[in-house]
Amino acid sequence: MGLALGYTVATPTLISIMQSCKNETVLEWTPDFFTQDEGAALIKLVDIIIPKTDIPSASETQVHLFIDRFANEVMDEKQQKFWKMSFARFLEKAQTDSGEDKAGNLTAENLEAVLGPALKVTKEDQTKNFKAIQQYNEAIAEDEKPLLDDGISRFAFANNLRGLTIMGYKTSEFVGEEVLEYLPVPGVYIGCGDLQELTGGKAWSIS
Amino acid sequence: MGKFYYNQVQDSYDAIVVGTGISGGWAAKELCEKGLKTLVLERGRMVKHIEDYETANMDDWDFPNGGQPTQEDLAKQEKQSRTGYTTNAASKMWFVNDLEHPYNEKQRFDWMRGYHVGGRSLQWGRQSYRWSDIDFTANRNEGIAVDWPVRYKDIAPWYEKVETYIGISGEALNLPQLPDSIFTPQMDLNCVEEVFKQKVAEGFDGRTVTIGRVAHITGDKKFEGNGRQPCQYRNRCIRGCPFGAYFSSLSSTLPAAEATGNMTLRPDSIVHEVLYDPDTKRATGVKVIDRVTKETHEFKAKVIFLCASSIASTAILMQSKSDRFPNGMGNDSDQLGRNVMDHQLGVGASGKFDGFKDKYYKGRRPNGVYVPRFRNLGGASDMPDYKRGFGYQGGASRGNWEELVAETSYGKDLKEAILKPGEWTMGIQGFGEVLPYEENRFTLDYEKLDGWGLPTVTFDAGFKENELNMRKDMMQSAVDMLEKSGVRDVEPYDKETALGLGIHEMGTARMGRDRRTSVLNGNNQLHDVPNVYVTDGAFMTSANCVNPSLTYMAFTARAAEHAANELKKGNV
Repeated sequence: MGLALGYTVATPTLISIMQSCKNETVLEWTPDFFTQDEGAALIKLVDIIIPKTDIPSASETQVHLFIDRFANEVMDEKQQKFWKMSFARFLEKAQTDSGEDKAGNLTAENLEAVLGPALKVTKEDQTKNFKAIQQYNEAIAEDEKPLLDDGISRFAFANNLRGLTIMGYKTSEFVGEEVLEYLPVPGVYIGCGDLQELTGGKAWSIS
Repeated sequence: MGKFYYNQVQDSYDAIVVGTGISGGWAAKELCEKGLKTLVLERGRMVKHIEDYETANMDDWDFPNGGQPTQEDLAKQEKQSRTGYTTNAASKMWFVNDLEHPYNEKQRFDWMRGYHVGGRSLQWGRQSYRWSDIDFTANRNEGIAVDWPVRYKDIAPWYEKVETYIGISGEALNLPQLPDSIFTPQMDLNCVEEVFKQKVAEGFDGRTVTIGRVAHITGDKKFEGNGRQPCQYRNRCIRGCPFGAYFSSLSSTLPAAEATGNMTLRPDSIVHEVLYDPDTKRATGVKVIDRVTKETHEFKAKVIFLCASSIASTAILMQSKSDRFPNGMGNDSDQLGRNVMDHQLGVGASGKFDGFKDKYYKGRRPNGVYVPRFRNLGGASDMPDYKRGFGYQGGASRGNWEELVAETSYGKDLKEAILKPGEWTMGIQGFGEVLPYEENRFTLDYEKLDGWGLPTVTFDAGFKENELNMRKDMMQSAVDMLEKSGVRDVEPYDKETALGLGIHEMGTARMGRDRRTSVLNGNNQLHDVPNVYVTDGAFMTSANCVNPSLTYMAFTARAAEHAANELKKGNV
């Protein structure tokens, strides 16, 4: 599978399953960028966004590894700080609302309870949020110490997370080769063809 | 002594060609085919066609981070990455390490370079358009800069020669402002683009939409070179094409030069000076520093072709100082380094298109729509607040899943939505002409030397009133045309940009009729040193708004014939 790195994610046959007191399975993964607790929450979050159906879920295509690596290597310092800050605000709400102290123990239900409202935002509010985020980032660039409303921070985190989850999912080898329509060497260009005939309704995997 | 390819090193040559890009490859081919023993010097590393295109067949998941550049990457390519795409994992190896190749900016200038055999002919956008006399006479008619010393009729046969050899795909339109090339079959527009084409023709006088004219092989005609094949619609051109389907020096012109047996190629050869003999009043050769070993060499030839790319060729001339030419070879006019131009872009509009939900395209077309210039062509097209004009490039595609997000913000439904093609969007970006301004220039800084002890380039050039006024129209006209075509939620944009970002930097050694106000004559020769020719973008006296490479190739082929004839006649 795509990402052969120093990650200690094992294949299902070798998985080291630790039963927590809530009977949740915990994978052994030491993220490069996120804390252990953040990593545990992340795996659940990406699967809320892209759950398992008859097609593998986001975590099954290692999207959490993609996001961890992306945050670590691609994001610049300011983006990383914003990511950490907005993730922290997000988890705080989940902890407060669920009464669960340890972020790593938050259940999928706990997390969805925060993710859902954060993402279900009207177009109008979305525009307002982006404006606030832009102002915040501009202030940071001027070396100020601005504050961003907690709700908008959670929205920013959820929105970024969704974007990265989709990106990681669609650029994973499994989805690229087995799920979307994979055609590395088309040989022709047809400008205006029938969608069902060309791909059975699926998107091309390479853009 | 370094590695020489295809031939042994000789004491002296008939010709030296500096650079192996768009123009250097053509100079090598033409001079070698006319029987000249030619030494071709490239400052960058050797590249073998197909063999060295390491990323050509990789998919997104074969690159870490989906191919996005890491912070570590960006630290080495801060300026190259200003394009926003060239330094992604698939193509970063074809653009310079900015730390190794620094330059100075009095005003922001985005200088994109590819230093390797083949040059940027490996990474170029392949858009190819002829100039017309509207362009060649613009300076004279408007009293700007100096007149071009050539006209369309001088260059037309050379456009034809180049197009016949390399293959240009496109649609004949018989437009006075955009002469047709010799075309192989055009690529298709997609469904939304067809609507755009139709609605623009209906809704606006004198505006046309066509498919881009590109140097890709389409149709049945065979084109020479190194096993060139028809385009496979992979759109991975920037990585180098294993099918040789688009024109590059590696797929097309250098193989022709090699086949003659007259070419000697020496990569890793940084030419920094042309040598001058004051008695014969001729150049005698060039000085080279080896990129790898830093050893110095001198090579002798009867004719020198500078094709190192605009800034580089002029920098070589500037560094070629002598008693006769204290300000750089051929620089009595003081025009060396001046009148740097480019095309301005980063302005246009895009929006969403409803409809054609059951339609899709097949293949990744390495091309888009083209809207030829429609401004300042006389009559109602004339604009009161700026001269010259602009074209547009762009296209439509399916990929917008955000439309569906309000209802399906996460979960099963979102998953289903993102695995489908997504909604249609369409956008166009303007490419506008930049005027020649004497004060837009670069100079050499002898206090800041590079790793080879050579002075670095300092840019002091920017957009002025004509460009800024044109930009407003570029943005509004894009909005108008998209809205007329039924595109909704049209969002205009006008990004902060700079000269250089068009990657069409040109001028700095302009041709002209008068040696007091220009560097080169109408044959691309230095007025004052007739055996030195400059045929890359440095010779450009104005910029027009069309992609310039086809024009560089035509002028190069023409100049090479001139040089070969002059050599035969004993004039150089």
